[in-house]
Amino acid sequence: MNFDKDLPDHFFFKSWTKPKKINYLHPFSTERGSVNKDKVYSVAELEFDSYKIQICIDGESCWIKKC
Amino acid sequence: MTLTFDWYLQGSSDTKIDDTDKLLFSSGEFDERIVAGKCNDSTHVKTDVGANKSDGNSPNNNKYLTNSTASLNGGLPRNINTVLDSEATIKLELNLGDDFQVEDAIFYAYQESSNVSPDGLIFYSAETGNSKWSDIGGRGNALELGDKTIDSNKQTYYLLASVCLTAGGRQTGTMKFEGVIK
Repeated sequence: MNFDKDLPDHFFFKSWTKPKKINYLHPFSTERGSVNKDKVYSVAELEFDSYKIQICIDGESCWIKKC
Repeated sequence: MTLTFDWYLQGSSDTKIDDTDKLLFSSGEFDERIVAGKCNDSTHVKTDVGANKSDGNSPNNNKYLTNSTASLNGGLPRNINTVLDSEATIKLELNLGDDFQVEDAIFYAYQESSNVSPDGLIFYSAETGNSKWSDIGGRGNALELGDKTIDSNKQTYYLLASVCLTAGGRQTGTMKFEGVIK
């Protein structure tokens, strides 16, 4: 994906090629002590040539991050 | 997919650490505070109303002595790589109700923010089989755990845990276990 801030919004994804691979991951955490919380996330990890993009869902929110 | 996390303080009988309970490190007796410069002589589960939930279960105590030795339940120094699964303080069972593999599991202690070590204490931990204790304060110092074999849809981790105070008064923190199901 080549991001060009000068392009209008609808061009942002024009050069976004298909990912080479998609991984489905389930990161989780469990805590005991001052904080007591268990959490499981669903992550679709899109692998491109030199980077990955993760689409993350935790049941309440959805966010995207570049790795 | 529902992944469940069951924390236990091991002993003659295991005591479950529910999400309203706390793992309590004490000097000799339940709720007896550890003084600065000393480490835990007993470990308990304390409920949210202050009850001694592990009373009667002879809970295990793992006490840090040196980087490679521990006293178990007040006994003579032992190399920690000889500690059996059943002698560890914490048992953590992960159950997905189906076969699954956890990878990249880590264990650490923090306060306020995951990268911050708890104030006033050093939290030492080791996985059974390790030859050294680790100071696991803050995510950057997390103990890296080995991958487990699947047994009846469960993966189980056995962790030694000891707290040594660097300041007086009641000190608190949070234990956190992270991993990825693949």
